[in-house]
Amino acid sequence: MSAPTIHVRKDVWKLDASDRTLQWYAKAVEVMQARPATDPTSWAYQAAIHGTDADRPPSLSNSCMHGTWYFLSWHRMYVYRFEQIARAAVVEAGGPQEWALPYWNYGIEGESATLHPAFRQPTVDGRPNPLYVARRNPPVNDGVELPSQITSAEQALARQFFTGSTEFGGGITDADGRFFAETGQLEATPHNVIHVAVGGRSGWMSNPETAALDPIFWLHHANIDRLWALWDSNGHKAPEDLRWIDQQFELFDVDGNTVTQRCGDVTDTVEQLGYGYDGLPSRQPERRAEAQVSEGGEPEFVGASESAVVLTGRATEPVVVDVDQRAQQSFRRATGETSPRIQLSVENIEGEQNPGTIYAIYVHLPEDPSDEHYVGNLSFFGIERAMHPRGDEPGHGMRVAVDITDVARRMGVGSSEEAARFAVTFRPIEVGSAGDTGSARREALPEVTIGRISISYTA
Amino acid sequence: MSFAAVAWPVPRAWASRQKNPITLPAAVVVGAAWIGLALFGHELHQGLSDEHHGPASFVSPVVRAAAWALMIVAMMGPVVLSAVTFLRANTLSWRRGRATVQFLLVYVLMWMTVAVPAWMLEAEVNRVDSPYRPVVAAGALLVAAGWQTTGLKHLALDDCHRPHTLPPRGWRAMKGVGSFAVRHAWACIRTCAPLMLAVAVAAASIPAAHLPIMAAAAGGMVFERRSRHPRKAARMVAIALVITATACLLLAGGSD
Repeated sequence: MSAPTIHVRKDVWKLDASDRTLQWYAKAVEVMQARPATDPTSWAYQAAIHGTDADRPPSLSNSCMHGTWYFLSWHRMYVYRFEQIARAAVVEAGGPQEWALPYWNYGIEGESATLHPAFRQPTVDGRPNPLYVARRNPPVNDGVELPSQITSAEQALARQFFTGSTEFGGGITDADGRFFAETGQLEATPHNVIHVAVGGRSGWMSNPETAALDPIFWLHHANIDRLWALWDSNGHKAPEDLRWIDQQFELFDVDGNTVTQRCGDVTDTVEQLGYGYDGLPSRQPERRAEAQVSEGGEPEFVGASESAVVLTGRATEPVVVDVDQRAQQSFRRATGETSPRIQLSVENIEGEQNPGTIYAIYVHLPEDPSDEHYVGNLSFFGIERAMHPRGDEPGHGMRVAVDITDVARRMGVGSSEEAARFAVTFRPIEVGSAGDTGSARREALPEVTIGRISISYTA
Repeated sequence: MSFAAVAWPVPRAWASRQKNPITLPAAVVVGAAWIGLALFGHELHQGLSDEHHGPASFVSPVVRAAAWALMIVAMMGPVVLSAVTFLRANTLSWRRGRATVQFLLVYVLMWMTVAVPAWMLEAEVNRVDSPYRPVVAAGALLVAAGWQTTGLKHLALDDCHRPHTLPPRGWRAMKGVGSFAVRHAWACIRTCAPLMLAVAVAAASIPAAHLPIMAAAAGGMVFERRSRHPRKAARMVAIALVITATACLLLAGGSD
């Protein structure tokens, strides 16, 4: 008996000249776009599963999971099912059985951090190019290199644990956690910021309701999925909590039938799903010998800014966050911890529309900006749905959290034994020079309000 | 030595204590409220509906207000727990106690305003002849079922899950807790008041069944609040209300 075929997803920028992966992808997009929108295997329906603004959306629409520890597992299932449908379309069009979705590894500086030309040409051989979308951030369609601050997954990959909003995969969102938006580090950067960088202010990729209509969406998510597999291959663990493992989601198979999968069924792409990534081991390594837990401790709130901050596209003045001495002492008494992990949360982010701006977050930024003070990114992918939930999902608000322990230590603040004060600055990151995340259109940007910026300690 | 090896022994124990330290006290308070309703609720509704005892005002307004507050604590307690958890997680440790008390006081006071229409409806029930009271109960339950399916109800349910900005200290912190309590209570009232009024009418109409009616309604409210698909859950509660209303009508038919 022959071994089952393992489909290998390849770096789109490393496909050799004779490789026809992208041509077949374009063909699959064309075939799927030609199907009626009521067909679950059509392009429009597959995109609607992620999000749609239709008044009467079809079954399983708007079911994407964001701001939660289910983000990675749901999107792995989603891309896996989409790839099977696209592969069937490739085969239907005469293509190879072993076709697999490529991924966009924008994390490598230079050419890889630009949109592949196959997605930038409006026409191919005089015909409309199915991979081209006009509704993108113009500099991205012009081939501008994305800044490394938004393409790098370094911070996320350095996280030790899966569960938690400052950890790799996102925080627990169960019935009692509806007030919290628990976006994990990989979801925040590069996932969210790449969405906004590619979509700009009004492009498809910037809004969950239209994002999956853009063919680059699937290569972006294949990369996010690869980064999870990479983190996993470094000996980290997916949650062992049964609330995560047994959580089921419904999607459509290649025949358009509803199928159900558990999160616990998608933790190993090769063994459970039959696909892998070039450059990654085909088998997961043995876990590290030492305790490799996938949960961090509960953060204890110790201080917050006094008033709201309005973001208008310009760099903000430093926002002061004082750590409360009594709360700090109480934390130390309860935990005995004098060098806690420090979490900075940007909370109650509200706005009617994604302004398409990405901000870098700095702590104690001097007049001459330095990367040493950089702690993470803030973008607003999904802000519309956070404000006004679509479909049958509860409201949840929007929040971004980053671990600033290392930066605070370098600045000499954050011991639980002394008073601490943090000055937080938001500076927009330019994507290209003439794009709509750039300075040219800042005046017209919709405002976004941050309710407060808080500091929490974790022992 | 890895971070995990250094950090685990302390935070695990600490985290388990911190996870939701109000669950047990909340369960005790809510449980006590249910016991109170079980012991005195029947007598209260009997008093309200017994024609021989005269009009509804026969029962002291203070007693009636206390009974309504008891009902709010029993039925809304489990529902408001996640908001209180949010409040406590986002309040400085030394302010948590007072913030919780302030929030709950404002929340219950807001709900007390719903008592007025509830008493007016109960007074109307008292004017109806006993054989027709199950029909009145059925009508109230059907109205509540209708509300469950409206867009306004779903918007209110969305608002029940909305976070709130809570300033850390001083009068701003007090104001923040107060406005969160008002906003959250208002969302809860819009979401659940029709159901609560239907429960009040049904309990006044069929005093012997007041406890199961209240328990079922409370279960429905918790279910739709905690469901991953709140709109679907609200519709399921509507179906349960229609079934209960049908049972009331059958009861009325059987007693003819």
